[in-house]
Amino acid sequence: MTDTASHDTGVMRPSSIGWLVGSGEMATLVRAFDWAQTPLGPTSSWSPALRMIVGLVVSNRLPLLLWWGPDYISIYSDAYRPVLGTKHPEALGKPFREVWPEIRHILEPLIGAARALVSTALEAKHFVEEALRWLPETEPDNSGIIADAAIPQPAEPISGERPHVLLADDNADMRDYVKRLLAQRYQVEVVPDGEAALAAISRRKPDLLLTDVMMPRLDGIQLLARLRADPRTDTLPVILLSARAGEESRVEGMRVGADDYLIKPFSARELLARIEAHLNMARFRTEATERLRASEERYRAFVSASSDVVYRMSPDWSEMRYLQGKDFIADTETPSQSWLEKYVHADHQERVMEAIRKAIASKSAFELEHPVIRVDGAVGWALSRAIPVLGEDGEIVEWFGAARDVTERREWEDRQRVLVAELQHRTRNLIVIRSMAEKTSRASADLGDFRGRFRERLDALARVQGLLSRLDELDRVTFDHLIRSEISAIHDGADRVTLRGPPGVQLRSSTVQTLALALHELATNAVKYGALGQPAGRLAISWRFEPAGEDGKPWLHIDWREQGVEMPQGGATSPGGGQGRELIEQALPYQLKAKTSYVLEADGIHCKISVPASGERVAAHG
Amino acid sequence: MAERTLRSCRILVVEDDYLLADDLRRELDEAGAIVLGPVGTVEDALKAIDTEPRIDGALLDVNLGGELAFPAGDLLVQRRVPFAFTTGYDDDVIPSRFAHVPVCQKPVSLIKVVSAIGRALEK
Repeated sequence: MTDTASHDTGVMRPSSIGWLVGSGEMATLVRAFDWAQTPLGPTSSWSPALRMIVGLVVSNRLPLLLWWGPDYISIYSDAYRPVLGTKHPEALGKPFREVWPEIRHILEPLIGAARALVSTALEAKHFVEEALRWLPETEPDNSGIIADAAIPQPAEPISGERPHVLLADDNADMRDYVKRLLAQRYQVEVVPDGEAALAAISRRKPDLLLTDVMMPRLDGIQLLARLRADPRTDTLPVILLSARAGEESRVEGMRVGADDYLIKPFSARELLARIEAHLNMARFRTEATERLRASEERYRAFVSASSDVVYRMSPDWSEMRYLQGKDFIADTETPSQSWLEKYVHADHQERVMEAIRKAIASKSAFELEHPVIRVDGAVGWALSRAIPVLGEDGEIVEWFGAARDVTERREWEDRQRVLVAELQHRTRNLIVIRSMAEKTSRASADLGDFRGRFRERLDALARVQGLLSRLDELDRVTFDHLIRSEISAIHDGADRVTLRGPPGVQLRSSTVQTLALALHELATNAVKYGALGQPAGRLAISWRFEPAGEDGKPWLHIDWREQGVEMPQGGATSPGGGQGRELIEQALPYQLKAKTSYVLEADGIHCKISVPASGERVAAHG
Repeated sequence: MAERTLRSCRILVVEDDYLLADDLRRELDEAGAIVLGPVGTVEDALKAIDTEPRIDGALLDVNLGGELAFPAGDLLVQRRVPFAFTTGYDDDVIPSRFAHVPVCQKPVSLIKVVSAIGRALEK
């Protein structure tokens, strides 16, 4: 049922009653009626409320009858004419008693009850106030009901222009009313049903949708469901308008995703206030989302610009939430409990966890340089640093960390350490030679004597250096290797020397040189004055390895025994033996914590040397 | 000059290398000083500093068998004993709290030792 004519404002308007629009018969009759002859008086004296209600009634598509004033003067709509039958058009402007004399006794009690109800209904004022706003030219009313100050002020428009509100309602009057109500503040677009609303939204997304629930084609609930299912419109603010009161329909509206639910009839003030509130909320939401998006974009840009590994951990580090490995270590995209096994070799897990526990306990930064398992499976080094993110309660919410690949730096540092150690070693050798020259010169009779002794000692030193320099980093000089090299260098009569002891006893690097010099002195003296210099002389060198000596550490015990030697008279020290003896009795204990004894037996020297050895024993080098 | 400065001074020598310790001992001896030690470990050095009734000066090797000698340095500072470090290392291993302590590079020249300790003694 449509009556477009009633909405046509282009018809004749008598100047006396210009506020009453419409081209229907009743509108025409009311305009032409001589109201001055009735208790209502001339229309120019009518209150805004009366004008409004008359306007409402006469153009209405429903059959409506209005009684106004103490005499119940009748005014009615076009649709009411059939109800009156032959009483029309005489009924217009007549008291109801005259129109319906035959049923007066029935109607009068009903009217009384209705009056009592209206006068006590607090909401009545709002309906009147609202109805007044329908009128295109509302004059200030002495009742003061219309107070613009009471209407919420519009918020700042979202995009610099007025917010765009879409209204879907199948009732043309409702569309007109709401459009007029909102037009001052918003750009209003109206559509008659849900399908049209979807089409309008796809053309241009509004800032807010007001929709009736009961509509043909696609109703408000279905429309809402379609909007919420689409990511482009799932946050569009929607206010449902419905004549269905009651909690159930309100709940249903909210359940399908309505932001608000208004029950018809509603007050203009409330509608405006709610629209404004939802537009504001949407604006805040949009701004917050934009800020968050911008912040996340900066974060992503930062993370991808950095060559560092970035990661996030749960408060107690039991779970890795995320790790971007930057081709250094493997990524972790989804939360993982097994990150420790994934990134850290078992040997280093405890050290890493200890640093983590400390950081958690003190809620301070975690920082550690530790080996990691690289993406290629090899071991690399990472300098890892994480800071705790604290919640409002001061507890840790999350850890945010970054790690840098320092493998190359570590390798350089290792190399540098080796080089520095080598350099110091060589420097020390120079010092040893200086000291050796000093001692040799003091013990030498003349320069020729010095030259011979000094060259021998330099040779011995050179042999040790040769042994040491041929070693790989982790290798160690073994005792059997050292003793054979020394004996064979100074004496070719191997038949007079017996060597007995286990092969492969490893010496500490710091021990090798001093021990070698001591053995050299013993051997030199044996060649010159002892077992290797006399025809009957015999030299027996034996040694044994003690894995756990008196200090619980490995020791090497060496026994040097010369026999068949004709010793000098008087038990004095053998000539030239002073320096070797000093090395054994003074230098070895001082420098190597060795235990030594040096005894001149009747048939030759008996020397015992015990030195701390290296941890492991390996199979003989051959 | 050496005689005049170090004569009868009781000098503690802390040096882990026997040959160097022996050289220093002999040279100081020849310079008229009374040599305490030498000792070659941090432990022995601490013991000596603790028990010697009088120490006029000390030479302290920075690296004692892989162990750094700074605890002994601290104890010397505490006992107000003037001393000098000897080292084959670069100076920057020495903590800043010893910035006032003279450093002699190895091999140690006695003239430098005398001048370093002598200067300290004169203060």
